Amino acid sequence: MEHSLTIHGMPQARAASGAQEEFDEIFLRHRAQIFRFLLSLLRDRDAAETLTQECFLRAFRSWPSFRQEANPLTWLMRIAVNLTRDHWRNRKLQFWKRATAVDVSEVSDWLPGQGSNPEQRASVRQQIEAVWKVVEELSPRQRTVFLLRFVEEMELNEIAEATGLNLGTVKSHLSRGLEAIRTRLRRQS
Amino acid sequence: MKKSFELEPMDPELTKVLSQFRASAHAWSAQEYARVSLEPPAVTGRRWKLPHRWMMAVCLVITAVSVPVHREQVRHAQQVEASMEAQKNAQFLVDVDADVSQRVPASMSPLASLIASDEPGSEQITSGTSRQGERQP
Repeated sequence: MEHSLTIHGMPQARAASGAQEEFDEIFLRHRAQIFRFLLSLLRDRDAAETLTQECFLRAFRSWPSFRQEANPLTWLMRIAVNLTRDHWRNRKLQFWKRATAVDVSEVSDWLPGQGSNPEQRASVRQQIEAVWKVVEELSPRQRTVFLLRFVEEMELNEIAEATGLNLGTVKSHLSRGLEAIRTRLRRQS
Repeated sequence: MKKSFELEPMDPELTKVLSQFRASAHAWSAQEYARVSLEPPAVTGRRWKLPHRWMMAVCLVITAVSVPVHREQVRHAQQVEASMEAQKNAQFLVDVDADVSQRVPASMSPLASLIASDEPGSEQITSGTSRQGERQP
């Protein structure tokens, strides 16, 4: 589905310039990926939608200061990661709000490969659910690193840049996540 | 995977599981992305949000401060009014006493001294003399 999402309310001077077109291009290219990262991190469609909008709004505001030599996706991911930190902090304060995250068993219903037989599909489903459960048990920072790596397929240095962590910490978080998945899969099999 | 994880080479089984996990997450996200109705982030709209919040906060503070102040002012005004009323009454009584004492004729003074102050009807006589005295120029 194609969305007609564009940034409105921009200053006239900028709208007339090429910066507007450049930003629109960045927006169209990366919005689905930012939404996917936020969705997998929060497992909450409404929150992912809101934070995706907020992410691009903040990006637009700081677009003039954005260094063109940097990777736009990494820059956007950094904004998204910061937004999720604020989101979690607010959630802690708003303890009366009901949990809106989708259950991992529900998320695991989305299976790749339609042609496999029911037994194989059940096995794959179990494995995917096991990974989601591990992801759920990780700390927010570890979860962020894990999803950037294994869902968004970002390079380690890009993850380090997006999260503000050093490379060693990123590797350490990934190692822990992978080890937890191995353990769970072993226990499951 | 674009590039294998540098720290530890992953076994094929784990690689496969993570690949399936990624595909599942992508499929789920694609489905959800199609269902969301992303509104354009309205910069002008957001500019109004902050002033609205501030205005609301300022109104609350003004209300919280002004209501007790107003109550205090009303109470103070009532006290002043009551005090003035009491003073006025007291002054009136003083004036009446002074007026009555001035208007008792000097010729009746010996008679007044003959009536004991605690005797019944003394007040009547006294007031009668005062009325009588009023008639005299």
